[in-house]
Amino acid sequence: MNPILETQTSKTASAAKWAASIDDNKIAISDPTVSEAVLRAQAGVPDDFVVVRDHNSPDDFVLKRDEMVDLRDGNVFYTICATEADKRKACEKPAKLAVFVDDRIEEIGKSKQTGGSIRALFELPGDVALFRDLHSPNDVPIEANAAIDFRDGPVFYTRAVTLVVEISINGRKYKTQAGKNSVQHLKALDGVPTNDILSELRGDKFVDLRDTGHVQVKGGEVFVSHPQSAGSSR
Amino acid sequence: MSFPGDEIDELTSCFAGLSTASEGGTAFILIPAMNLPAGCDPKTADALLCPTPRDGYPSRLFFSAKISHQGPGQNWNAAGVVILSRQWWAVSWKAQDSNKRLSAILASHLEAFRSCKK
Repeated sequence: MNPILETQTSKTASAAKWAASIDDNKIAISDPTVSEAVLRAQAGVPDDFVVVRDHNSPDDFVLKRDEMVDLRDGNVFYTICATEADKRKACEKPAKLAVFVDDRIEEIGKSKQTGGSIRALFELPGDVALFRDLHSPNDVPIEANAAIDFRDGPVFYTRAVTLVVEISINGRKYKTQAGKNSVQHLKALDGVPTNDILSELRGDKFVDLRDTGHVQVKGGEVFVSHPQSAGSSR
Repeated sequence: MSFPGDEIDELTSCFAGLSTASEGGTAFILIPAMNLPAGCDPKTADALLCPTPRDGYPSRLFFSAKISHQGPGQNWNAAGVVILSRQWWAVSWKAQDSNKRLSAILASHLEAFRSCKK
């Protein structure tokens, strides 16, 4: 980033990274207090356009040139031609808030969230951990019940987690990675002969598993193998 | 005769209402309203597993009714036999029992009723 465009506020080691949504694009900002000039430059806003903070109101706030804005009060912006920026009344409505997870953008209705609500909003799968992006190498995963305040930073990212769970195969307990497991892997864990059938006791049913297939393992699954029974007499 | 506790626990965790009983020195496992493999009619039936040798088979699986299905086990050579004061039906099916675990024996018997063989 061009150092000229950096904001003036000093960063603390654990300060959160920030971002603004401008015309639905993520613009990374190092600090929540930022000048209109930085937003304009980073978003590539033409000179004859103005940056407008989105309050979902006809009186959306038009940023003046070089004006400092605090993204904690709202970080959703759009641009319009300067000639369209007519005189407006003071905007009474709160500004829109946007959070970012892995560069995806979603608006939130209130500042106070939880790890679970953010996960649900972005439909994050269970095998990823959610982190707030900090100016620090020691980001901490956010648990589902952890409180999240937009004002503490709206930028998050995910990392795949390897969750090891216990399953049972032929009555013996094995550790395996949660998520997609190949049937071949499960057979190998218990030394099940190649030609034998591996079945899962799923609910109250035995489900035979194809050798070329996969199983979504969450932990606690029960598998049992048996030779192919060809002993029918008709 | 009693069954290994962990094997019964494994089955009980999947089949609600499972119970054991014995008659004439032979132990059985009764699974009420067991879901049958796809394509079976009826879709559920009471099942009685005899995991020990009987009638010349290493194990047998009886049902409370004759099951219509497209699987390979079509020879119903036990019809209305009375065990534990109830009538039962079974197909001729020699379940491979190199793995003598109860759940494996049961799964092996159900292969007789599956229309899609591997």
